[in-house]
Amino acid sequence: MRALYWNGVNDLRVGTVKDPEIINPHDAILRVSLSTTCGSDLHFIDGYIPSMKPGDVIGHEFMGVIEDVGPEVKRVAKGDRVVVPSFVVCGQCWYCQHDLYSLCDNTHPKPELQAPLLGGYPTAGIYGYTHAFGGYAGAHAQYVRIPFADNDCFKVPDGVADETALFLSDAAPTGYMGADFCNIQPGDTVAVWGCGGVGLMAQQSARLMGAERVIAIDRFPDRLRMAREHAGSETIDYTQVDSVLEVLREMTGGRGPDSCIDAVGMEAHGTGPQYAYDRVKQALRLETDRGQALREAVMACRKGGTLSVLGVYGLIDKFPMGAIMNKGMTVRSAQQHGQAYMDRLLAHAQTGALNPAYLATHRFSLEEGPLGYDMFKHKTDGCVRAVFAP
Amino acid sequence: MASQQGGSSQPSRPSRTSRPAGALQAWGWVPIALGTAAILAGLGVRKKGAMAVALTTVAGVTAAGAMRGGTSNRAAGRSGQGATLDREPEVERSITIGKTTDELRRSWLDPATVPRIMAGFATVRAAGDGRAHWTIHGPLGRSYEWESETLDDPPGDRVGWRSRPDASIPNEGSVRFRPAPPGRGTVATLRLRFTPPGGALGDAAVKLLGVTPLGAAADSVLRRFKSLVETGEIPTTERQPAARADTR
Repeated sequence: MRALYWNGVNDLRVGTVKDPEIINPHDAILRVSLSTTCGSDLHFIDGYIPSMKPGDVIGHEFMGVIEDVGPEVKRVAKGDRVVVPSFVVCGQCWYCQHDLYSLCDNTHPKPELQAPLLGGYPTAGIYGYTHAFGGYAGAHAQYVRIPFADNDCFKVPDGVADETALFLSDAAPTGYMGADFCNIQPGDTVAVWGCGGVGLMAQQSARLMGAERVIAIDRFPDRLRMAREHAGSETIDYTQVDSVLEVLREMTGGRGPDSCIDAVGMEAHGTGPQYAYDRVKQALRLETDRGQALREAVMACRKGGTLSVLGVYGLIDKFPMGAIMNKGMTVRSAQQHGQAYMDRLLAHAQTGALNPAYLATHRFSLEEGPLGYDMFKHKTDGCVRAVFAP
Repeated sequence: MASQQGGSSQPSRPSRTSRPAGALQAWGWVPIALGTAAILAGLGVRKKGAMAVALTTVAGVTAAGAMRGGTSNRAAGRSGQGATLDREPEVERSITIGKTTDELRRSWLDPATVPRIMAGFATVRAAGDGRAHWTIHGPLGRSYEWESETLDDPPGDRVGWRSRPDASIPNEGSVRFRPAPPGRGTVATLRLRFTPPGGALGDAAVKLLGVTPLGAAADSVLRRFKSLVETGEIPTTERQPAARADTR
């Protein structure tokens, strides 16, 4: 089959690899209909996250049609059109049974590679996302093997388009979880850093959960327009204001946002001396992360508010722990527990309350994968997400 | 964890980004007299890295400061030979599993279980009557084999085994099952002990052997056991698609 693979830092290629096969009894083989880029892919493409191997098939956000199932698969069958969350989960362990799916105990084949990063408590494996996170072959390919298909494949109802279901794999559940973490109450204002796929989904989700106001922070006019038009957000272009903190404080009558969601992560952009400091240290590999958005979110949040972290981080310098402590903030974070939210997300997709298809600004064949990632990375032509159809 | 080969199969391309050897060092090295390459290969370490570490550690093997567990000298005394490696490498590791102690005990004693969970560490074949045949493939094409027997005397909360008296590298192990706090299942504690050889075999060890992160092997065995009993399978990336020879 054809597949998009990582050949080295900033070197993606398309090539022919062997087809996946059923290995374990709960496996299924999915024929991929659509897959898409995720900002977190850029971290290993750019070389900031270790443990990729040349030849690794990438891609963790996808949907398709089941082609084959193992002998123990009961709830899905060949021909089912399904969406698959990015994390491989067993459904049986203590974590899965407590809806903490991305912390699953039983799906990481190489925990010894992750131990130095997380202290020896392995998390769930991810498709196409480094060997430290399981080393499973990814979904930018014609076919992908899905372990524990009964838990991890969700049938897409008729009337929900492929382009909509695609983003229920990662962007939508991540954003939805980020809003869920905020425990939104009537009258709340939620500020969201980042208007990429996850940030836009977090904004829409916050509205669905009853936020009075959602304020989005980014620098790209196209994305800020999407935030206004699709998520009903008010927007701040941080390159056009002296201080995001002051603007947010004024917009909220001096209280500050009740919750702040970071949907940016370790390759944040910003302005001013702190951004320059991060940029230099990251270039020298002295820290892996540029944390402008996260720091700003901490400082902007009201007393007793919630910081919800969806951006992916490794090591970060100068984290304002004192502000979190003295303002009595709550910090919530996780990789997405998609399986916990999928029923609600599919229901919202059916009613049209959540329609992420507009994220698919650019469509490519799988053969054009490297070009798609290049446009996505550089946000060329207003690219929010590059979508591949094998 | 498909291959039991002792790191001498096809050369895999060096990965610029993964540093499993460094990761393994963080666990504390336990020198034992066999199976280095087999175990490291099972844990995904390149041959070059494994051997380099092996040589380094053999040079200073008696330091063994990172060794956990028992440190007695009974090995040398019992063999009557001046042991090159004068410690008894022993590790003890625990994991919590969402099953009852009885379920775990039954699963462990199922003859199909131990061969599956030891894969990557040793090839184990049930030999009937509570016995098992173990093979570890060492570096330079050497392999080590022994037979073990199940101990019938341990208290009811554990299962124990021991190599038969003719084993070149005596070893023993046990697994113990105790209830975890309510709702959390059972704590399984695995203990492994290998007695390094002395004399000529000990000298050969300097060339052949090195170190085995025995604690890492124990962790891996326990994880595989947990996954097998909680889900009915062991997670793997074997035989998957990738644009390279060793696709795991």
